[in-house]
Amino acid sequence: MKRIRRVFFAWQELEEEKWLKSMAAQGWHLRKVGWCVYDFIKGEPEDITYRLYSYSGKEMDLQSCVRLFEDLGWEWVDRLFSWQYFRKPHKEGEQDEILSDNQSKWDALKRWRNITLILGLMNLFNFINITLLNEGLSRSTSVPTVMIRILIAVVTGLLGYGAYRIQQRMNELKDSIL
Amino acid sequence: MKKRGPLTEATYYILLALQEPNHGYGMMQMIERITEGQVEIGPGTLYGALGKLEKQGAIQATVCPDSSDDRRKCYVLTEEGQQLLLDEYYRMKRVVANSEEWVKEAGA
Repeated sequence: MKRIRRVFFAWQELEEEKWLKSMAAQGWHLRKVGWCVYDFIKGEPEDITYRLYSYSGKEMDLQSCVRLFEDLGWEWVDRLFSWQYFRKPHKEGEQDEILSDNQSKWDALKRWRNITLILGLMNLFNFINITLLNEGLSRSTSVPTVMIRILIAVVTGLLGYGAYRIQQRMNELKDSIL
Repeated sequence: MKKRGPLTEATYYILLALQEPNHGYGMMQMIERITEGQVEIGPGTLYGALGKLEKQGAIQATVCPDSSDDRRKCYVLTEEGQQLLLDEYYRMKRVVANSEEWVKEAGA
């Protein structure tokens, strides 16, 4: 068993997939995923493809989605929120992508950008509220209020940056289509 | 159902594989057979397309002919779905017909 703490942001799922693959190549196979925490078990080094799938359906339908992936040769490992972690031994000439065309890649990116954007705007509104609008809070200079203000500003910044990064990938994809 | 542009290759083959009730596994087997392995659809693309098509009313959930695993979900084409498939078939046929002259001239 080995526990590794590592931060990947939501727009870095490709880096995360690569990292999990490199861990498997060293014999460390993913067992559980948590908030910035990964648990691995030691085994034989293997060439494994990992893919993160952002599930968008109803919770009660998740099992049918997992079954579909299993039918096509993928093993479900764990989940973190809506992200589902799948893996498959890499074989030459076999389909390695879970999103096999540009349309579905585009749909997935667009959905994820919209979620990030909405969360970002909600945070921005919160920030404006407690720094400018709300009579009691905006005048307060107490340590907790200032801390919360900074925290919300940081989260808003990250979400905004995330939406920007995903938009960049969408633009690249568009360029490759046209 | 709202008007839509050309279907993606994946969507077209999914519709083609759903003339009889079928689950993901059966669909992929059928698509592999009729395209001789040239078209491989990833599970995320397949799952996403099924959700979209169901929302648009082109396919509907149905009882599986083989109840091998109750986690498997089966779908079948609706009348709208049949029409969508047919419209796309004729559109592609026109595209090919419109290119005949050029292909002959080019001697390709």
